[in-house]
Amino acid sequence: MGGVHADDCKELTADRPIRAMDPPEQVTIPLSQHIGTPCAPLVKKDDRVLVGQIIGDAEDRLTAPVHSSVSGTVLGVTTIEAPGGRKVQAVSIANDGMYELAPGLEVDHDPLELEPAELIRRIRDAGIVGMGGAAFPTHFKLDVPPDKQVDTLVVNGVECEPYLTADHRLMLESGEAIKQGILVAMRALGVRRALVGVEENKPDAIASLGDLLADADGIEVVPLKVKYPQGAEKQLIKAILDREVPPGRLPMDVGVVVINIGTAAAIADALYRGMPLIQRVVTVTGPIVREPANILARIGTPVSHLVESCGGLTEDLGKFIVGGPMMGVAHHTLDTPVTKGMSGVLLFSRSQAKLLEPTVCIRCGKCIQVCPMGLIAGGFAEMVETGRYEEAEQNHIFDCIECGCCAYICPASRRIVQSIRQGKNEIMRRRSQSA
Amino acid sequence: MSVGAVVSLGVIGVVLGIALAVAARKLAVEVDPREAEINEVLPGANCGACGHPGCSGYAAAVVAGTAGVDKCPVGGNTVAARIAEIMGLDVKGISSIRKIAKVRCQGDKDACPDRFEYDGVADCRAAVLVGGGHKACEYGCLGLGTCAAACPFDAIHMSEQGLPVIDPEKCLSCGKCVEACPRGLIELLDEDIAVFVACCSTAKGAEVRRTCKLGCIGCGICAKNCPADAIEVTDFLARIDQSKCTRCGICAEKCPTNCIVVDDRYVRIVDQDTQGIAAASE
Repeated sequence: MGGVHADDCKELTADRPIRAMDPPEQVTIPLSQHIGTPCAPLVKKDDRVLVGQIIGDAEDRLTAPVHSSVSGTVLGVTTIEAPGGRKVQAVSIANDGMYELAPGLEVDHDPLELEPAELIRRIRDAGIVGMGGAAFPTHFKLDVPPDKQVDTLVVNGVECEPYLTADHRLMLESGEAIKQGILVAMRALGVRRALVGVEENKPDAIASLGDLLADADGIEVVPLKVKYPQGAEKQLIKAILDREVPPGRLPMDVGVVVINIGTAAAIADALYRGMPLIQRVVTVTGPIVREPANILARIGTPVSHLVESCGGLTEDLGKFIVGGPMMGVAHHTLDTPVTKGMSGVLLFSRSQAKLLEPTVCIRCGKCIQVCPMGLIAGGFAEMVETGRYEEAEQNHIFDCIECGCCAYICPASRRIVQSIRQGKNEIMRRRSQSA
Repeated sequence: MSVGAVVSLGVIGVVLGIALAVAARKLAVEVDPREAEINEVLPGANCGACGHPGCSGYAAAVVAGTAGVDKCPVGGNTVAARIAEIMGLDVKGISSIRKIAKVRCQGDKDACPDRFEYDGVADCRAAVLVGGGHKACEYGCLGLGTCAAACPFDAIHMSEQGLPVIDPEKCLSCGKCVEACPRGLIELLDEDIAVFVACCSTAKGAEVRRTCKLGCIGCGICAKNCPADAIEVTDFLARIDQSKCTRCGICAEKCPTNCIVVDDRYVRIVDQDTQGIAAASE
């Protein structure tokens, strides 16, 4: 149902192999890079920290620890503004360039011989979160409550957002790690089947993963038609298994757990190589980037550093987006660090980023046609504008996944998603007031 | 044949007539005459600011005893006094000063620049969700006029510099703007107050200095100089206790950032040597 076919603009970086970059002199590692309770700092100014050392953690099930991505000296714990405007604590570390590993990172067991509970514990300790962008703690997903029956692991290699190619390159270059990660996740979940969804615009990835996984029992690569937002969890489950996740329920309610390709690779790094989540692939792209690239960057590296590593910009920066162009968030400074969920960095000039002035709704109904959740998208915008919040709630405004198809297709350039966000926020505010 | 029809219809008519008469007596809804009287004195704006569905809803609530007599902000104290009279309550203690909305921010485009260009829905409640708002100050007015749009009495207009200006003549203190502002910058204050702090920032002084020319930096000079001890600085923000304020205006004069707004009409000029009130300007 619904969806759009946007120009994918992936040719800028699709054939650029993942490369390393000059390490930064200083990293700033946010203590909240995931959905859930923020970590409390475990280090203080002037402490020496090592690569892979836990520098922040919290006593909560829905959280993920944060590790140092370099060795060096802690400069301090500061408050920074994360993309989206949230204020988060962050640990600044001066990189001593030695990359001395923290003790205890050695691998002592074949992960496939460990108990599921132990695997889940190790995944948590490695700080692994969903690498597709949402950054939901992975151990929480894999720890299925006993009353839920999961039969299939779905691995998300869709990467349907235009411009982004980090997962595509990972599938081409780190197939072995992805396979290891999938096997570990299957064992943690106790399932015998894993389906890897990849869109047909990445035939090379489908072929190479297919070859690698040919001998793996129960793992199958499923080519999918190209459509945005097929990489959204509920849409992917529908496309790959024809199961529908009811509103307000989770994939595990229909027997499925979904993890991202990048998450699978991170699991393998942690369990087979002992390395916690301290780096990720970031696609740095956009029409004004001199040499767009897929960069393996240490968590905490300033984005400005990544841009420099790509030869800088050819025009003045007009808009900087973290994530893809459809669901990513704009941010006002490149002085923000790479985080676990940062799949891409998009840079546009002022004229390229210019939005058309919104006009009145012309009742064409396109937003309703393209809504992958079957909602009256443009209707919500009007309800919010006129303060009809109860009506918006009755029409399931909270089922909106904010994929942006409605705003993308709207011939009147209406900022539909923004209005929906405003409406959700207002409804929540009123609820908390009346409670 | 026709006689039979007339008689039977006649009998049915009489029986139903009697039934209706009895029902009207038995099922009569008693209306408290005070409800209609209160409805008479209410402004009839049906704005809903009292929290009831229109003026008649409020009148019914007052008579039922579930709402106080002073809950109509549009009518103010005059109406409250008349409702109290109708309800046979003591009218003493209801002050005759009306309230009007005042904007507790002076961070216009000059004083408080934008951190980034905002290109989204022209509604402060939407803008505040984008990166925490485009203004340098995270407490300040976003300047998109959501308060002005919410005002049912056309009492709020946006200045060219992007701040709401409230027309005290038109403001009926319904509180719609207070509700609409996502940053909580509008407050209903007594019309005749001499001074109020036009800043809501609880950021540290250095941060305020960096973001706004007219913000409260929490220096405490106002509190130190207040002869009536009416000012307290908490969370780096000066707070004036209007019940203690003697309207001398010294705080506004001493404020290094000019964040205390004065209404000259209500200030009594003070001879600073004697600390006494020399004359009243009213």
